[in-house]
Amino acid sequence: MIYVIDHKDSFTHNVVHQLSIYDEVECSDFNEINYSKLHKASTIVLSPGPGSPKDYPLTTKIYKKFKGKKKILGICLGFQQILFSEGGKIVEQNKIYHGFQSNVIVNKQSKLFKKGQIFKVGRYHSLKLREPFKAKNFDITMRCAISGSAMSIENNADKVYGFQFHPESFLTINGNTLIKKILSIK
Amino acid sequence: MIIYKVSGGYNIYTDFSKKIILTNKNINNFLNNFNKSKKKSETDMFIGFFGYEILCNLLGLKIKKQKKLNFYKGAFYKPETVIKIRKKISIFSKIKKQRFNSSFKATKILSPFKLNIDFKKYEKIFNVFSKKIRQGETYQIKICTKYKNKSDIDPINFFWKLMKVNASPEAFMIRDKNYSIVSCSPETLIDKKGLNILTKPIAGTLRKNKNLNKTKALSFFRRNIKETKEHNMIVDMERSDLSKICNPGSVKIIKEKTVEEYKDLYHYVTLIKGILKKSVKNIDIIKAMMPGGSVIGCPKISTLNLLNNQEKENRNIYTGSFGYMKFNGDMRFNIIIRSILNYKNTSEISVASGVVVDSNAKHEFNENYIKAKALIDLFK
Repeated sequence: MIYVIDHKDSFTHNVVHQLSIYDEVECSDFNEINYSKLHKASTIVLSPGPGSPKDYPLTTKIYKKFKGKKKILGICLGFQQILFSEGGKIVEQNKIYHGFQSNVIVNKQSKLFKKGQIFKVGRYHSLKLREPFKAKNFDITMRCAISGSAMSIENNADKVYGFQFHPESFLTINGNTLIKKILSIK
Repeated sequence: MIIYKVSGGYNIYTDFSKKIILTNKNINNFLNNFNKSKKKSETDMFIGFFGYEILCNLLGLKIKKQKKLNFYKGAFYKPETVIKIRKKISIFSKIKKQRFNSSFKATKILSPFKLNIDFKKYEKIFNVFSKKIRQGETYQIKICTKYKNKSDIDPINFFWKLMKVNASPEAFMIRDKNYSIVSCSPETLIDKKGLNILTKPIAGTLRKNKNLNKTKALSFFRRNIKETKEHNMIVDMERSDLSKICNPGSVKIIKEKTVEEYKDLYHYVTLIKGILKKSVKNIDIIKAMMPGGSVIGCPKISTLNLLNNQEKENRNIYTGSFGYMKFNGDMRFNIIIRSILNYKNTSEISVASGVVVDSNAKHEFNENYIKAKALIDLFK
């Protein structure tokens, strides 16, 4: 079972819909977590949402508690929440991407995707990761083809993954492939 | 009397046997009474509207103290007569002896139109919201301004005048004893038949001129990055709203970013369809879809909170929904925009335009006037 923590976003149910193709999904607001179901879940997904990771201390707590014990996937805000919990700085960016389609490129750090592979993805983010970013076992594995900003992370030791873009958006081509890949990791 | 535009003509609903004024207390009960019986006749339905505030309340959002008209939060009517105006006219009625009385009132204007927010105030709000966008609290937000005058109008006269210049697909009129609404709403929010549901968000409007045609309008929208981004956001939001109530995998984009042509303008629209989960009730559908995202902004909840903290005046009907629910659960609802509400001899016209990353305050402020103009012109 997959547990989606919703940060009251208007895209969360696209994520739920997409995940439901592959597994049973539970979804609740970040401040109304059903802990017994959360404990049963094999994968936790941190949803997109408004604001910045520091606005959601509860989610940070959950992330830290379950890191290494369950597979964790963060999308957009969820991606930033993982980085923030790992000591990363999340900052405003000069050029803001809302409803924007762009190309991201896989780099050689990735264990899941082929180096040089390009994905067309939908983006909705005001904030981004400030680099350099270093955390144990974490690699930045996809970058924006134009700006170079971090678009995906992998921590294959603890099974923590994240996308800054939205694999569930209709602007993302092959979004299902990306999600399937994460879910199929044993 | 209520008139509702349908494809190929108009439906007129009249001889109301029941009128339900919605409150936070009775709304759940009212909505739960559908889906129960099979539809027998054309008149087995309620038709009416939800105001903006009651839709926020349904989502658990409270609105702070605002200047209020104390107008209905919502009202629904049970018609006993439906007149369908197509090429032929057909009448379905449970009333034996029809009495039609027609008398037209002249429009009386008692004071000129005034705008509730001047540019200086507008710019201030605009800058607050732009900052919220940079901080990621909202991705798109619509600032509402309101034109008001003192006047007495004949809504039927206004409605047909309006239909001559803009027979929009979701136009309607309500004439009750103590208020009236005249609207050329363009957008279908919910069209539900059986388990099939569709929504048709509009983001992007272009006024017609001699040099334009449908193909040129399409390439205008495609080239316009700001319109395209706004549109994308709305499409993903509506997909998500539908996904809450539909079977996994059933939510699909049927027509992606196409141009629809109307008498005076082109709209940039997308058609999204889904198949409802069997357990879903009408109230779940209303809570999932309303208030319609394209006129609020995105993400919906945090954007509604930002708006509700900012706005000093009640929106009344504006960005609520008008439509009908049949006794078998089928329904159709629009988004109430481009409308005149006349209540207690005050007419009000609310308009809004979107703030996104690359919006310009002056441009959006003027855009609001353009949107209100066709309605203000009816008073001439």
